Amino acid sequence: MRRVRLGLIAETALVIGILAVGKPVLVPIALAFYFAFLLTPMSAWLERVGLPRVVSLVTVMGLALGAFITLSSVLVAQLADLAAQMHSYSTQMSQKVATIRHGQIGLLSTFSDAFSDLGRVLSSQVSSTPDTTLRIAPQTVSLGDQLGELFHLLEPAAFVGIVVVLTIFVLARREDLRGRLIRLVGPQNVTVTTRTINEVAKRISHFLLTQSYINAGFATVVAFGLYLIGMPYALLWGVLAGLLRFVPLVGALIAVMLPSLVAFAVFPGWSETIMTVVLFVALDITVANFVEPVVLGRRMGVSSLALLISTLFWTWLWGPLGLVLATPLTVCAAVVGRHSEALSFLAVLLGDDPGLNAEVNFYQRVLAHANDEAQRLARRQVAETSFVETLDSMVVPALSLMARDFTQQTIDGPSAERVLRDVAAIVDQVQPASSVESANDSGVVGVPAESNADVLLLRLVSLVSPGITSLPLMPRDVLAQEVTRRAPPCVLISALHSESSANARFLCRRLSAQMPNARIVVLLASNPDKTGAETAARLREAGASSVVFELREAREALQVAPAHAGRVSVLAASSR
Amino acid sequence: MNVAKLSPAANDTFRSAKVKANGCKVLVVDDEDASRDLLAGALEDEGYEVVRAEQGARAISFLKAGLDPDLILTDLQMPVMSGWELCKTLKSSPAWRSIPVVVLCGMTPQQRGELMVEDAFEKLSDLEPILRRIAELCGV
Repeated sequence: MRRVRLGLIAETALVIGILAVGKPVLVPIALAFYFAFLLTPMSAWLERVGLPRVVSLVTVMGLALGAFITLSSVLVAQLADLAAQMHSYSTQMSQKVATIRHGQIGLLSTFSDAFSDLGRVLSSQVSSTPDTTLRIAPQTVSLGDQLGELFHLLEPAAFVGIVVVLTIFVLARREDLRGRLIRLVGPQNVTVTTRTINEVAKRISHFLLTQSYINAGFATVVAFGLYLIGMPYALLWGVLAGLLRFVPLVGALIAVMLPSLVAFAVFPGWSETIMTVVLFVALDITVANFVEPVVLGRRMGVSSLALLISTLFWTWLWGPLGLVLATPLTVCAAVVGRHSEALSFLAVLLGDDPGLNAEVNFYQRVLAHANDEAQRLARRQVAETSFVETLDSMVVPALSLMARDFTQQTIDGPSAERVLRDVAAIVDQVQPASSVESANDSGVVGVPAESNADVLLLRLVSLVSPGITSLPLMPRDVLAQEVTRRAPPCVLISALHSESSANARFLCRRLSAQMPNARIVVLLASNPDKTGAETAARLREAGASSVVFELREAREALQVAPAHAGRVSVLAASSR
Repeated sequence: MNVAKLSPAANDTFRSAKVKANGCKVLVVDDEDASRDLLAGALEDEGYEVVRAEQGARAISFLKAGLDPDLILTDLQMPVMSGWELCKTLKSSPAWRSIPVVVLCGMTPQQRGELMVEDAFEKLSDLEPILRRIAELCGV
């Protein structure tokens, strides 16, 4: 155990080390994939329209680079102009600072005084310090140094160039890259790898594209709003705000700080500054809480806390570019974790699925004697969905978990009986008053297939479909005789799916033989997965008119008039 | 070892009134090939789907793999895992205890009660009552 833990720590440290050392190589590659995910939908659409790949690539890259160059030039020009103008704003700033200092703004003046005191202390220290400035005589700069400085200046341009070239290659050879990745992981895992690649591509492309549209809209509204307020360089602030929204967490903060500071410096009064802050805050709250959840879908599949920690991690590792890449990288890790058993811990740590599924959580609470908490969970589920939905999605699956544990002998008989009693009590507590109302005899006789869990299941059905006459647990021969004696038009057999459904099949055969006109519905409480589907097929072959998997379906099946429930047609449909 | 045989008359009766087994699956457990094949053949003639196992451990491995029979027909004297052990394993497991078991070996009522099996027949006996009982236990 200890060796395993040490091994895991060593592997994690190695991966982080590789990511840190390999930053100069890995960051351009990650950025290239980032832009490729962003541009692939457009390139694919152009190819679907009929353009050859080369033309679609040139078009997409041309548009992207054009937009980049235009935006950059506008931003640089406006920033340069703003820098030049900043000198003229200093008077307004001095006046406002003086206002604050003279205590016209209550709390602010206190802070201002404190800063002034600190400033005085610092200036006195600076003035008392002897002048130790080293004065360097002008010297001749060598050609090597000049070239070094030139290369240093060209570094960002080279970086952009590398990213552009890599993006073109990723876009042009995307199928080839996918093939290589599948080959690398192993052809035997082709299904899982394909599913993982598709989900990563879909989620990230969808996120980036939709986020681009949202941020463009955000930028437009901000620019227009600031223009109405009278802010200079409204277009600059709008574009910056839109771009900064791609940066999780701090992006929105920086976006509001820059124009607010400028408004503070430019305008003599306070109203414009306040309006600027209000505009940003109101817009950000609206977009984050109303627009994004609707347009982006409920989620990206990543938990907010995981995204926060992941952003800190990537920023620490790769700096500002890590901040931009944090979201897609986290989504990638969460999706890979969801499809790979070896890396499933990533899905648990990063995914936005709750720690435990609703039914597991409910069952775990009952198992731990925490019935109050289980009841609270059930009540919340009833409030969020409905009583029937709660039974189908939480209570019955929890009973199935109990049945599985019992058949695997993980829990003993008395514990299983206790769980059944507690679940029954919880259901009694959370059921709405309308479901308790007595109903006329619906002509349906309910038969538990095998165990007390099936008896409880039958009781749950009678809560959502009142009027069922439920028979107690008896030997199956006696049960069949009793049902035949009553000769109802419809029989409901409740069976929590376990490893053996022999009893349910016996009842189907016996009852269908002795009451050929009766409708036989089997509620097989399990997932309609492969095993459930096979069990259902065998039950139909044994004579069941219909096999349902949920209480909601059972209610619908029982509402079908017996006269319309031709067993013959159902049997014909399922005959061998 | 001699095994139960269907008399020609009984055979004709059963063939003419062939039971529709409605997808019934029977697991036949016997270490003797001839005996196992005869039982399985007779059941297949009646419309049952038959799975064969040569001893108890093999039968358990089938069940663990997801086989869900409607009935288990087993001999008692078998190598590796005898019919006694098989019955005890089946009836002590919540997953399999509801599967009816018919034993092909003479047993006293007390022994049947101990093993909790549904019925027992002599291996030398006629197949007719065995098949009738199997049909009854499967609900056909």
